[in-house]
Amino acid sequence: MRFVKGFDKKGVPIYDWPKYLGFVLSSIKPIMRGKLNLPRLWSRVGSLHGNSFSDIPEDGASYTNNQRAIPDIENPEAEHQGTSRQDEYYFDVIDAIASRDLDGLNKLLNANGLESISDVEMDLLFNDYIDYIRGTEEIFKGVKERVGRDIDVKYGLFGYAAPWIKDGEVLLNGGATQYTLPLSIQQLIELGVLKN
Amino acid sequence: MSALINIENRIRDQSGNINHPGIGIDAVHDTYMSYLRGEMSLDTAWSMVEIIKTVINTQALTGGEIKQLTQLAAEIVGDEELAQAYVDEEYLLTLKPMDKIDSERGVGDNEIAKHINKMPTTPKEYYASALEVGKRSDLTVEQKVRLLQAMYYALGEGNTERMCVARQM
Repeated sequence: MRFVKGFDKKGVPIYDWPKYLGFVLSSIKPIMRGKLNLPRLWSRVGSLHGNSFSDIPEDGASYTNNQRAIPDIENPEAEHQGTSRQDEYYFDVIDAIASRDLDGLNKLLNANGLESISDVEMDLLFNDYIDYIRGTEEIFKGVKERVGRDIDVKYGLFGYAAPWIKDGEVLLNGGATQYTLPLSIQQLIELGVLKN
Repeated sequence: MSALINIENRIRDQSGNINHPGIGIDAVHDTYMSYLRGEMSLDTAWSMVEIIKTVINTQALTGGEIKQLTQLAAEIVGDEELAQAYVDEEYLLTLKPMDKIDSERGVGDNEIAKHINKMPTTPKEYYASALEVGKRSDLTVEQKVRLLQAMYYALGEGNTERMCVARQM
């Protein structure tokens, strides 16, 4: 098998994804307040319930699946494009969720014309955030020796898609930019960070 | 060869242009004559199949014509399944949405399509069928992926919003 290694009990394909969330390890940079923000234009192939996307190159042509190292048939109808807030709003939202600050988050939402969320919704966001933090910390555990530094995953990661290599054969080239965030695209749209 | 000539003639007639390049039948003539005279090596046989596959990939063919050419490829290679697999993979990957009806017929002819009762016609049907396919224990992972690909291509353009299907095994 090259991309699909099996199917789970529900019948969903299980992909044999590359390590390190599909990043070239040495290319990873943490998204950080004042240093590296989200891209102005983003593009994602597939469901909005995923956490990763690319930016859109200056020539306006989206990356191919081969460049994104996505093992799916090219399907323009599966692509979503949108914009990201370019101010500090994203970082403020993540800070509020990471500290489980419901009042703080609702003030941010209200100030941006959005309705308040409930404590139940806050719990869901917080749990998703913690799952992401635990998952990525586990994935990048022990890489300090390889890249010379810890990888701060708090606001998400930026880097380049790694080639998909199987048994020494390059199946997908990679090379596209890749942003992987603590929350899904859909959640960030609902929180006013992204627009689709 | 007659299948190739017929296809070339049809494409030229439909274009209304007697000088239409068709499918480049002249280029394959000599190779085919070698085949008829039994002068072909295995490599040459495969190059002939490669030409047939290229013609199929022009996406200008009907489902019936694709079937004809696949049979020709099987005759040349001497192994029906091998030729079918060789032609199918590229054919499915390059299928144009406008060939939806023919693709469904073509898929229906394929070995893999016998594993499902009905090709989906909407994304909703696709997802429901895809999960059933994924759960089946009588198919290998490879067969399941090939079947999902065939189901996806049967939907056609404008009918695959947000759909992601594995490109290879």
